[in-house]
Amino acid sequence: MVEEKLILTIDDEVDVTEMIAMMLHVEGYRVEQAHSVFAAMRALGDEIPALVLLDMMMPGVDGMQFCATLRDNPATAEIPVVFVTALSGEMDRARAADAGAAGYLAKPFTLQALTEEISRILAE
Amino acid sequence: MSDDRQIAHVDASLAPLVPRYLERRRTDVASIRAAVESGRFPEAQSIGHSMKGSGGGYGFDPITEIGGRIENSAMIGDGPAVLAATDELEAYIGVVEVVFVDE
Repeated sequence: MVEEKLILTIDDEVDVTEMIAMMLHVEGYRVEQAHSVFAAMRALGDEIPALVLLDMMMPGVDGMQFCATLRDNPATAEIPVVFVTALSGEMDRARAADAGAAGYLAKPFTLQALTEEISRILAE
Repeated sequence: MSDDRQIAHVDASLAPLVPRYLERRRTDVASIRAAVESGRFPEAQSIGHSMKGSGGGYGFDPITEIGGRIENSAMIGDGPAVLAATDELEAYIGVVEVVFVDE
């Protein structure tokens, strides 16, 4: 069992954040769910998470821009961001890397893929 | 004799979420049909996109596959194709049997 690190999952899809929360809970993580950037900012103000899982496409919000916002803020600049997205093209992966993402997970994903990606990044 | 059974192998940790997940897809069926009826294809496209992203993660691979077809067909305004895929979705969630597995 891993230490109870906090993961913040940001996605407008409740189905996705609930699934992530349930999967990671059994792996020993604490998970905060945010379904909007506003909710994410509030959560970030409460506690800095060990890692952020960020949807790339949310209504009215570009995940890339939000990632850049996190990078520009000294309080959040060092948080590893993993894009979780149904966009799986090479161009999308390259854009994510350019935005400073630490990882990339294509939807749909398995529990194993999710935990392996998180473990890999948190071990760095 | 044909076997129309559809079996989904779902991670046991997701068991509490499955009834609500499938109920939301039933709601999606009605929403997509209403969207196509009134020409709101971006709405149908968005719903399809969401299903594509979540289905397989829960263990419902056909929902991901059908969601992708709904998304692509709605993108080009192909109403009959969207509705045909929606019919498939409705049939699938009506017969799917969930088997919970410990991973």
